Amino acid sequence: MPKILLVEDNEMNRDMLSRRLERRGYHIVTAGDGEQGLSMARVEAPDLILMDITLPEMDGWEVARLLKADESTRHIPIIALTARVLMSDQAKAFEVGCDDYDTKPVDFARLTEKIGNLLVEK
Amino acid sequence: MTGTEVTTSGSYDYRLVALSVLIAVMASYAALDLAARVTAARGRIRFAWLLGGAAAMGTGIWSMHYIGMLAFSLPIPVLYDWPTVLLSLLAAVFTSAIALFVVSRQKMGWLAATVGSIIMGAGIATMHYTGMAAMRLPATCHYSSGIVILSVVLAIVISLVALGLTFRLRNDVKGKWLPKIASAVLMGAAIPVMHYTGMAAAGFGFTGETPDLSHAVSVSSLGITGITIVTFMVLGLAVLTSLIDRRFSILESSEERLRLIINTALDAVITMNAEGLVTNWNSEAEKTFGWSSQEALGRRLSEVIMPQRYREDHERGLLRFLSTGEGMTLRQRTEITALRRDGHEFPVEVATSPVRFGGQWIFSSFIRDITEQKRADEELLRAKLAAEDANRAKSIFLANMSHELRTPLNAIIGYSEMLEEETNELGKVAVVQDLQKIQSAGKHLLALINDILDLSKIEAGKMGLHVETFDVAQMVEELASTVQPAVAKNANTLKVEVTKNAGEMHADLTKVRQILLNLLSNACKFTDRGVISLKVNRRTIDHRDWLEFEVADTGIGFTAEQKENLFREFSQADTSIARKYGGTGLGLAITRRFIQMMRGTITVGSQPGRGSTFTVRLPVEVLAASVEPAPSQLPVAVPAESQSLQPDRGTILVIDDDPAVRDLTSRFLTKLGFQVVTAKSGVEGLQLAKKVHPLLITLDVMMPELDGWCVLKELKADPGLAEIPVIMVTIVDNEPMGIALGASDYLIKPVDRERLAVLVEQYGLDRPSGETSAAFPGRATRH
Repeated sequence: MPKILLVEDNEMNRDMLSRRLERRGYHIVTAGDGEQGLSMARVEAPDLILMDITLPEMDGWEVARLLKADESTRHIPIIALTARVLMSDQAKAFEVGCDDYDTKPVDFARLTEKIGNLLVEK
Repeated sequence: MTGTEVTTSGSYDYRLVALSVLIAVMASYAALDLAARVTAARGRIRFAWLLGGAAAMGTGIWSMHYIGMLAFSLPIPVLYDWPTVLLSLLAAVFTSAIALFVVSRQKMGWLAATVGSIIMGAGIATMHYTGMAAMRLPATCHYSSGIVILSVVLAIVISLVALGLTFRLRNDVKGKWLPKIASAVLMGAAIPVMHYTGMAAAGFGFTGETPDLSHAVSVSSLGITGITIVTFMVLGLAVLTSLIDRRFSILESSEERLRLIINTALDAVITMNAEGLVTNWNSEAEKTFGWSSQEALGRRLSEVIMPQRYREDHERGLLRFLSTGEGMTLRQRTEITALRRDGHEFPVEVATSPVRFGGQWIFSSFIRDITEQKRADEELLRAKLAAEDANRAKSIFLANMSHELRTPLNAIIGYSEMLEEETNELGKVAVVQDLQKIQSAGKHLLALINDILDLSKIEAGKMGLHVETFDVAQMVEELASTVQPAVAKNANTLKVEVTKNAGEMHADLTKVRQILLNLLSNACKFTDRGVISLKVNRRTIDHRDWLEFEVADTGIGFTAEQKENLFREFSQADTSIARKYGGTGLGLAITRRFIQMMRGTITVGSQPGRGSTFTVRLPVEVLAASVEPAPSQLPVAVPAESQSLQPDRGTILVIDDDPAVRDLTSRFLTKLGFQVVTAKSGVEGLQLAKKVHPLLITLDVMMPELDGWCVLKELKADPGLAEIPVIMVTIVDNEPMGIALGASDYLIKPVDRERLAVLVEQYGLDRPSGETSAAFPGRATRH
């Protein structure tokens, strides 16, 4: 059962997305801010990370950058999720090393497809 | 005086008669000539001309008369009483004065002409008979009254003709000397006629008595010669004076005219000689620069009108022109800064032309104070920038709003989808339908938010084209299946016809799809149990290939008035439509913007109640002027080595005051195959941008004088430069500011080279380099 780390500060969205993914058979661990996300990624060693970008204090960009700079977490694929849909965000997502990018509100079918693809590649 | 009277008849010396006629012609010519001068002159000069002219002309007439008298020789010695002779000369001068006065008036009516010629005729007669009375001879002189009257009448008639002719010919007209001479000959011939008639009126009775000889003198042939010479001299002098005066007055009047033109000009008109000294200074120059012409004349022009810092350049430019004949700012309009007497500096527009005059160069400048114009321009620019700022602020607000709206929507859609799945599993169908309604409402809301965001992106100039090559038929097929649920909703049928040669198209797939989707879903929305058709054709118009998409329906259609509002944002055909059919009224506005971005066209036709047809034409090859590539196309890393093989991929302008940054950046970009131009200040950067029209600009913020924000504003305000993507490269962390001012991207120093390479590739690839290696426009450099 693949383990997915969901980093999301909005409680409702965190709850919703984790429950939906669990229904698809994924094991979900969650983090409510960047700091926590970073440590969870190291401790839990998930198969994939869903990273909300707009987080308080340490934002998603920073977390992704640090994870990709870290030898032990570099291999974990990250999908950036953001409600900001400017093209510069997309570019930035790839720039900081994210493996994919999607917008919120989540198109669930599309997101699960992306997750599936990245897990297969792995 | 008694005794026998012996009537004596005299004989004429025809040589003297001829001489008298010649003098009459001369006098007439002089009269015509002088009349012109008297007419042209004003005031005292006119009076002087009148007197002098009358004296010359009078002398002429008088001497004609006397020579005529002398031509008549009697077999007795004739002496002349000189006071009477002088009296007759006075009569001649007076008559001439009257004549000149009459002909030199502005107008000559019949009355003036008649009165004038009567006075003149009477004057001539007076002169003639007074002259006759001056004769002292041992004979009595009696007159035949009939002939005397005839001679007076002749004198008056001849005067009338002479006045008329003179009046006609008085104005100096170039090349009209022939009529003048002809009329002089006519008049010269006519005057002796009167004279000899008068002579014929006289009969002489010889008495042998000695007349009163107290003041009498005899006139010898030497005397005749003397009179003739003096007359010719007087007349010649008069004509000569008149000639010289005419020349001068032409010169004077043309100079005066020029002076008036220049002095009343609304531009400062200044001339400078080859030494750089002021030689002309009109009254507008006095007003503009505060120096009177007396003060300015003879001074160095550069010292009078230029701020200190430009003087040296000016003097150097002058020397260069004198030695090479080249001058950057000559023969064209340039804007420079000028100096007023009080030290105030102001902008002027100056046009200077070098003129070769008398073997020397002189420079004439027309200078115009453009302070007001500049101020107006600046205000306009400020207003424009303010408006653009406001518009950008609005766009940023919308973008942020959309983010805020999306977060709760995410929960609404997500939970309702999840619940739907769960309830479905539990078999509670009724609840499932309600959950689907929540979902569909949420998605509708999301679509609206996306529309608003799209529009704000288009307006902020942040919507780019991501062109790719795709198969048209395949795209249409996919579209048809996407739109099928919407078609079925109102029990419509969809007919799709794609021409066999539709082939491939190079365009922004997402936008083409959205354009057609918008049109098709509109068609579905406004049609009930009808037919919706999509036809695709390929056409060649003006040597260009186009794809034509025609979306037609059999729905409610629209009227001509409704058509007006069709493409306007937030407006639908009318408000009742919104209530009945829903929608934001953004769909067609966005559709049209997308079409415009791809340089296509959209036309509409409709019959209310019968349906409507939208025809979209898009170029088969859409030129990408885009900024942002689609994610799938985004190059993640740039193989720097392979790129270096491509020479001259276009020019990139690097604006940074730090020499190290300039050096590093330009080396790095050169490696990628770009030409790099660097500027060490904002001002230089703007100049270079105008000159080389680069593919891309990297811009620092913290620079002395003109900082990066100002440079960015100016770049975006210039229609010729606004399209050039600008990447801010700075230590100042204020991306929203950069984006708000129109920057395409924002990098924080120290610069991540890979990131820079990615950006440069994006923007560099989007524009064909041929377009960017623009010629250096030969614009004059200031100063």
